[in-house]
Amino acid sequence: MSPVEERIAAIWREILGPDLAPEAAIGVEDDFFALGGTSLQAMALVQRLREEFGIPLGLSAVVADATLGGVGAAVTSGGGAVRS
Amino acid sequence: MADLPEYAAEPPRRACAFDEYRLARGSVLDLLRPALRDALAAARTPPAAVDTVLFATESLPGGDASQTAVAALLDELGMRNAYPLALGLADCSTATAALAVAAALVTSGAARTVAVASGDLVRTAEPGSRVLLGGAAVGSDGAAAAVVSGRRYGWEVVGGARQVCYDLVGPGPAAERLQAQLMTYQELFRGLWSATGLTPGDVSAVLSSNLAADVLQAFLGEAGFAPRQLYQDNVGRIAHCLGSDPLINLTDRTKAGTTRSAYPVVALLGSSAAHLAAVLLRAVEE
Repeated sequence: MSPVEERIAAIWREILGPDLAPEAAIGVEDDFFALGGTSLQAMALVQRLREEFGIPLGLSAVVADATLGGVGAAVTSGGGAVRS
Repeated sequence: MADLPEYAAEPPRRACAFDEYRLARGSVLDLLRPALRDALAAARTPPAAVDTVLFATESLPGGDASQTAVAALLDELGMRNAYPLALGLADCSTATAALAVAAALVTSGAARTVAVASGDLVRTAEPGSRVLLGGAAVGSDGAAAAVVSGRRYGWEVVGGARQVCYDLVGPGPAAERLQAQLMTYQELFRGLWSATGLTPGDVSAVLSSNLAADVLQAFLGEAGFAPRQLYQDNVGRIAHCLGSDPLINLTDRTKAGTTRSAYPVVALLGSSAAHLAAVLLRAVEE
């Protein structure tokens, strides 16, 4: 898992909160909606990703491929990187 | 918001911007009466000149009681020549769609002066809870009205568009719903630009339904609007007055001091889960 994906997985945990078991591992194939994410939580996710990575990510980027790998690719292709 | 049971344990996300909602003690007619009176005064239109009234509401009393109540209301306002019609079924987009219908009636010659009256009580139109659209809106009681005629005054109706997605009526998987909502918004605006020849960049303000601020920014961002183009001041102040938000926002933005010359083209946008309606208005030079 890349540093960007690791950071995104942590944000998923923040947003999905009690809907996600603390010990559950999130892999690159896991889908945000399959993990219980709602449409409102998807919007919150996009907002958090914009803040975290400083990129103008669109909602459609998350809807098109909601796997961790897919969202990570959208963030990376938009110029997002983990700040050191 | 603190007295809403849904938010007692978990307040709405800060990005929603919800703060207060409005609760009417009286009937929907008590909301519609001043809205119509103020609209007629603002349009400098004698009440007797109105030949048609489009009621965009789902809160009128049922059966004959609605006829009696509407007759008394129009009589009291001096609108004795107004033929009343009710529009509904399109949730919070009905009133915005009604504006385009009113303009079409006038353009076709089927009517000369049309009043559009929008108003609802949440307890009647959305019984059960004020937290709507899965938390994307908090319902308020409110009303608004407009007068549409062939006289060039106030705002000119440039064009309108409507869109419905029946897959969004009722529940469904979140991912599919979100995809369908995005497409519905994009189709709506494609229709609006096609009808008017304008683009998102030509619109100085989108006066929309008062949905959660972050939700609307997400949908309208995909349709090509920047956050600065969205008027969201009323989300916190009055929450979601069902179909009346766009007209209330138009009035309040003007009252707040933003002159029409500063934003010559505005878009009214009425949104519900499955129905969307938009109308472009251009300021008429005074």
